[in-house]
Amino acid sequence: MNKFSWYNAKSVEEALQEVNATVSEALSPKSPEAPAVFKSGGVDLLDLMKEGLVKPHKIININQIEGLDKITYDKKDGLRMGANATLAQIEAHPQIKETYLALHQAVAHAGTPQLRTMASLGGNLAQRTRCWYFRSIHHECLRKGSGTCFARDGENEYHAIMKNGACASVHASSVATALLAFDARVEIQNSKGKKNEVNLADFFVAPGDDSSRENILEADELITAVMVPPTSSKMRSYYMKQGARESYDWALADVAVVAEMSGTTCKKASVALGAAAPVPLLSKPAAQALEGKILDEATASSTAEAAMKGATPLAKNGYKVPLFKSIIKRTILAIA
Amino acid sequence: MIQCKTSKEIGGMGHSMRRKEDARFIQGKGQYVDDIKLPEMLYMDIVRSPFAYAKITNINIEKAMALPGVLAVITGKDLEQYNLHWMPTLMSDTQMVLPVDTVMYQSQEVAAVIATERYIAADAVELVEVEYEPMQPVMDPYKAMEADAPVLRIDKEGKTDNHIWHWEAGDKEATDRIFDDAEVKVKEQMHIPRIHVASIETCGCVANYDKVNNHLTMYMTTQAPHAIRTVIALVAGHVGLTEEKVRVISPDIGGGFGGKVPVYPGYVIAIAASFLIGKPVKWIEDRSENLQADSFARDYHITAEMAGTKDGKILATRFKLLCDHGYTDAAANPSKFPTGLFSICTGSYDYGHSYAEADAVYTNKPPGGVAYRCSFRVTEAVHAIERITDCYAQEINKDPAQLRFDNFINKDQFPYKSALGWEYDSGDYHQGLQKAMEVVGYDDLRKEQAEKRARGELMGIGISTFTEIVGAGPSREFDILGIKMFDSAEIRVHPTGKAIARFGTKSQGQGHETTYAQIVAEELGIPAEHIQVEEGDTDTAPYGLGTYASRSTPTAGAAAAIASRKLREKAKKIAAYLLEVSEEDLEWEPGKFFVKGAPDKAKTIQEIVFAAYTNHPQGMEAGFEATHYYDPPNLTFPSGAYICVVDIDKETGEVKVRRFVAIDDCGHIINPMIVQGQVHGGLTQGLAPALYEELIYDEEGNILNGTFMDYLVPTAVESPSWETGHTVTPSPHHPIGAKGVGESPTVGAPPAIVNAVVDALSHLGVTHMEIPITAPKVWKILKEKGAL
Amino acid sequence: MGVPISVTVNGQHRESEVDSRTLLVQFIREELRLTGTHVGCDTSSCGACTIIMDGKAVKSCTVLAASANGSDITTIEGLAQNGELHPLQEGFKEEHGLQCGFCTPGMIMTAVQLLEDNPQPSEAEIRHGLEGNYCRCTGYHNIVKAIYHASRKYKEVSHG
Repeated sequence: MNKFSWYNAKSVEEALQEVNATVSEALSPKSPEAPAVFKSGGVDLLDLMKEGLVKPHKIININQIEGLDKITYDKKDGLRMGANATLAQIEAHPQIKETYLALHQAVAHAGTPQLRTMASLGGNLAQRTRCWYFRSIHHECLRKGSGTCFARDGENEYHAIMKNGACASVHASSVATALLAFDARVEIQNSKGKKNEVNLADFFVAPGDDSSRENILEADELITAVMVPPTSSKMRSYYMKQGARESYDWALADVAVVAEMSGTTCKKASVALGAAAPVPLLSKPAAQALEGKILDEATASSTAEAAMKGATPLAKNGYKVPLFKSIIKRTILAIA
Repeated sequence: MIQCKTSKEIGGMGHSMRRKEDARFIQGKGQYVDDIKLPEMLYMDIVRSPFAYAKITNINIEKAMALPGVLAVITGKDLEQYNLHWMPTLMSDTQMVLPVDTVMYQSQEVAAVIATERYIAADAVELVEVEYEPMQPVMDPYKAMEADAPVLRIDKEGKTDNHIWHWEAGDKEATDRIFDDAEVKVKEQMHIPRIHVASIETCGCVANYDKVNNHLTMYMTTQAPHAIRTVIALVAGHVGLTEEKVRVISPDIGGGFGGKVPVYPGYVIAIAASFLIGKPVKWIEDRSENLQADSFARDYHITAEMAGTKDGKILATRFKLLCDHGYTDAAANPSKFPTGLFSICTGSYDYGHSYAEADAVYTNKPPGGVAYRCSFRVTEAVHAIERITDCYAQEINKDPAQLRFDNFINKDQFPYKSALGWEYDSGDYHQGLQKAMEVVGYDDLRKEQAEKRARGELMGIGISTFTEIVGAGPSREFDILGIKMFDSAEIRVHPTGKAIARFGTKSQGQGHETTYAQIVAEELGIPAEHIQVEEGDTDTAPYGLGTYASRSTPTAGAAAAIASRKLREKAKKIAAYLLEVSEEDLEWEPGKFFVKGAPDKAKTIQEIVFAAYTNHPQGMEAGFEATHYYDPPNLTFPSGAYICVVDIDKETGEVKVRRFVAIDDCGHIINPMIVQGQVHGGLTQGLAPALYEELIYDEEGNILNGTFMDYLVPTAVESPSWETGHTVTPSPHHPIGAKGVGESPTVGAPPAIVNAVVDALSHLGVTHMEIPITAPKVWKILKEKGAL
Repeated sequence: MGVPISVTVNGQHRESEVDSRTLLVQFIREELRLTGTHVGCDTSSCGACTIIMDGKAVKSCTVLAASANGSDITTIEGLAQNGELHPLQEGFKEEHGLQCGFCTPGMIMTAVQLLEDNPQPSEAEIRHGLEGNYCRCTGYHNIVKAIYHASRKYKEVSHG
């Protein structure tokens, strides 16, 4: 790990004056000479630094900014989670478990207990992909600024089966899968003090649009909070994940379904897929296949089929298509 | 139930004595090599190759040397001046310490940096500028054997191919004849993939050369400290490090499993650096270095064949192996056994003919392979025989348990001469399998399976009834670099009746401090609590070949028993003298000699030992000490009957081990709690390669899962709750009737799991699955067989 | 690039100036010489370095010492109180929950948190709670039993 200077930020404003690069920029040829980047929990950043992929000149510790880890919930406004809220805080939050079950489940499946204690929500959303070519210091891949995706023709067992034309990596956040299904929004503050809100779906950037980044964050921006709309008593949600190993592992397939029910019929639904594409994906065909239907085996199957229609698996990850179908089905049936 | 001859206070054999070593480990007071900090200690870090095969055209160390705190950057050219750039492997091959002009695998050592701080050394590594000319690596062992394959070891004069050695055993012609005439023949190709021991502590050392006294103390993660001392003296004797000037200390070891037997380049470079600079040098690998550069295990491509009758009598087996050793054969086998003890591949079955042959090959992968929790390639052998036996059962549509019963060597056939020449010492295979079937409820499971199959659900039951071969070994056949594979014990009993016992082995978690004390307690009646066991310091411990291949109990454990018996003989003489009777009038019970017919007239071992220092008979040597070097007359042959039950999720392809029953037979048991613990651990290390672990390389020679992030070690979540039990068939030639046990589960578990998975899919026409059996593989085969 | 930090470790107040890149585990091991906390990997996977920081189990290889400023830390060396082993330490010894001992401190510290959160866990809950800790020797079987063992005593000791 390289040397760097340390800056303990007391406020978001102060932090934004010090920063000059996103972590993604810092590991690309676009990096400023002396990159200064944010660290909250530091889980992914320290990994990237130990792997020698990122060599920040300065680290701005935002972990001790007062109030940035606050979680508030009320029935009318919904949920607001500060960017520094740890996954452990979210996991332990009783109202989240009660009201946003899929989110609770996704958080409880992320990392390990010790990592959830450290990992911040903002950091989780901004983390870089776990693609082994991206993480290998020996591979100058598309995402690091060369022009080649090694995974497309290489060892791609764990890679994307949708929207994988440019880069076959998958996004690593399983929390994002659940948040996406809940139509979460991200609050971003910039160095001029302006606060912007974007849909989480618009937060992520597909590699076809810009392969050097996985989200829209600019150097002088910081996630300050994630908001989840209120739910009604008719809403149900569920999250499921399958990894190569049951414990501590990134997902091969993870699925979150949020459905507004009327009796046994689904009135409105959203189906989010993680580890399917380079970005967490909301599946519109899946949602359409659910809406207006009774949640039963047949609906679950047709939804799974709809979600996977048009999938473009690579040489070694064809199994992920039926795997997704199975997980989607099970998630739906868990709600029914 | 195990019968104990000694009281709980004495704590001899059969007692589940709590471990003496635990007090320090549970309070954070263990001392592992990275815990050692010596005054003025320097830190070493290593520059490694990004390429699997490349010429080194230039190494520029200027920038690294300019970094404050950097004392030296050592390259192959520097070592060449001392003729230390190459070193011999245990298999009489050669391995680079540092390359002069060519790197042969990704992550190979290229240069070493010595600095005042760990982080500075790491910084300097990045500043060493190496220019490479990459070449196309040879990764596939079959391609490496092709006539037009590039020759990798051009350093070897006259080498025209990548072939290392050929080995064979058994009567080829006679075996072929049986195959030609056999009613039933089955054949399966299997790969036992490259895996890693991945002990939680990586490798490392502190080399401390004292210039004034010309003395080297080497603290290192080694399972065989004495052998290392001798190797150092042989390699560096010419620069003044003769054997009396070398002290190797193996401190607490955080797991070995065979991975801490070889001499890695890092150790040698650290010694060279300390020798040149005159200060202690610490080198500790990080996890990636450990997984990417240290010796791998396995990587055998096996073709197994079995011939038999239609009604299920095994007649013969044939095995053909291709052994991928990476760029050098750095296996850690006994010298005369290039394929280790693979010839145990005839298994637990009684038949007359077998033939096995092997060819070893160089590729651009890390060198190895070590005997990972396995008595030298026994894992590969057991996988082959237990798989092909199931293939045979499947072919003739016979229950795999019944087929085994019909072919087992009978308990009255021991000692049994196997078709490949081993003399199995003892066993009772019928009893073991019977017990395992009762515990697991075999018949009910078969019924359940039939019902589930009718519903389209996938469930399988797999059996493995293996014979191990451990405790290397008898000196007529077993040596490492010429040193015979005996082992030793030295016992000193102090005047007050407490003892210190030292051994040539080295525990890495096996609990020697407790079990050896229990053996001495059994034989001498001195409470195990008061027997201090020491290992790992070559200045104090008697010479021995170390701990691996389940050899500690068979060799050093036997030495402990015999040294104790020598002391008991002396004790008898002293007791006769003290009681004024003749030796023939005395009888022993644990802890005392008494006069036959007059149990009140007795002398306790403590009184006797005190007399050995204060009142010994005239003409007798004073003191109470004994040493024994034990050369085993034969190996020991532990066995086991394992049954695994799996459920397969048809949609996800996921395999779940529902139950696993392991009935082991390791002869007399020293400490049931410890034996059970060994079995639990070995089972999880058998589960690992069966379902999860494999080192994966791409065609360019890049390792794709060289960190703990991607190399999937099973956790508590994947590990089932193991069901263990035992039968007791004592080894007839071992002084306490014990056999080694630590490796049986690692060896026996994988084929039980694979057999269970294949059993679950057998009705679809599946006859084999390659390990690790991942969900994608299951899905693929289900699709191929039209089951989806 | 020194960063001044002040921490309480096993009840003792410690002040120091650390290099900004010093990992907490390095600080604990090298500077405080509390070598019971081990390093088994460099990817936050194995859990051998687990300590308790401000009441929560964390992997000290994933924390910069600079980030730990102001925190209250307990390592394996600080677990026994007044010469009395912690119920988990006793459980690991009684149930043979360790072999080589290298993963043991991290296992025990993780289990401290596990039992804090859930004093009477089921087997499945124990296993799930240990997913961030690798052990290569025990097959986890007796570790699970050791935590059970402690959970029986833990209630009395820690929760009155």
